Amino acid sequence: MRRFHLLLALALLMGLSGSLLAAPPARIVYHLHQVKPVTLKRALNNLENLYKGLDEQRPEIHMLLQGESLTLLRRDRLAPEYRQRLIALLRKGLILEAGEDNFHRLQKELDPAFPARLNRNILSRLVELQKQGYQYVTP
Amino acid sequence: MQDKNPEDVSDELLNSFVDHQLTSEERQEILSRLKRDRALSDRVCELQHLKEMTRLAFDDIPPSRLPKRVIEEPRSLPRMVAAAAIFCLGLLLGMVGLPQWGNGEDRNGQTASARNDSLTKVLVHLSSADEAAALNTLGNLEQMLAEYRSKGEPVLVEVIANGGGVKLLGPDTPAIAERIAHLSASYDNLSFAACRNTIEQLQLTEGARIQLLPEVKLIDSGVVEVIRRQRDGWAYIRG
Repeated sequence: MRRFHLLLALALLMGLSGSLLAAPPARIVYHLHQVKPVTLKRALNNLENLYKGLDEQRPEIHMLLQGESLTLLRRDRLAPEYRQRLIALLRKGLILEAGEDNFHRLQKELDPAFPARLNRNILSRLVELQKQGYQYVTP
Repeated sequence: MQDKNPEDVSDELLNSFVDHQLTSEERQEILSRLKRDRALSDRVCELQHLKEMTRLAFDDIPPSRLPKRVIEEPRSLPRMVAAAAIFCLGLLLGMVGLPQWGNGEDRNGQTASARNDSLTKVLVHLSSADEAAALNTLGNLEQMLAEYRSKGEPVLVEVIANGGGVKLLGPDTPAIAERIAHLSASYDNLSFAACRNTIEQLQLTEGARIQLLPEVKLIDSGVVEVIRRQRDGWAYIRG
């Protein structure tokens, strides 16, 4: 009976070890809320570094564009180099999100290469994602 | 026996002392010598220590602690199979059922604090003097508060300003002042706070005299409050 108990304890221990080994994905909500000349460049650098550094943790990154920061995706403002880098990030799984009012206001001017998920309220979405365990990052 | 060299006292006598085998007179005599004779006292300590070590090393194992049943019982194949099955079950539970147990998150990624706390707590951090960005944030904040109110979900929001952000919480930015007055009157679950350290620093370095709106309370340190709130499970938003 003692051996049985020993095996039972070992089984539970292995189970718990398994749970620890199955690391959850790295979840990040990246918040853009200002428009400065360096904002997009800094954001792209951050995001590329996050995908590179967290590669083994299957990062799930949502970039939320609040207010005027959505204008960074205007066709006439987006430099070709930044456009390519952003497309590469979308291929890695980056999800763009915006407020629906803001998006519809600017939609005609935005680069169609960048589809965004729309939310009624961008702050509510930021709160919701953090409650789901996403870590907040901003440039 | 008094005032003799410690070597004059035989080991046999000291062993008898340690083993409590002396008469009361002999014992009293040894005790009185021990008080005066440090070398003799050390010898007694050594003997006492040796006695304890010997007792520990050769102490009998109580019969009840012997694993009799393990010796007596033959191996049971069904029991071994059951143990193996439970082993696999435990492993499976660990790999599939509790993938995020280690991080305090459930399968939907919710943290324990988020699940257990129905009150949503939000910290909005104003750290720059960008008036347009702050106005946009306050507009979004009003929408968010209205949304929570319409759903009947409790929410607590604190706007903390430090750095350039404290300049936005005074009468010099009337559009923001108006919005703050309106929001404060509409939502008692919303509060505004400004960092005293920043204000004192601005007075020292820029000679700026910062006036705050009546709705804004002073806190000692904005950054400490930001860290404390996040540690307490508040959602964080930079405005």
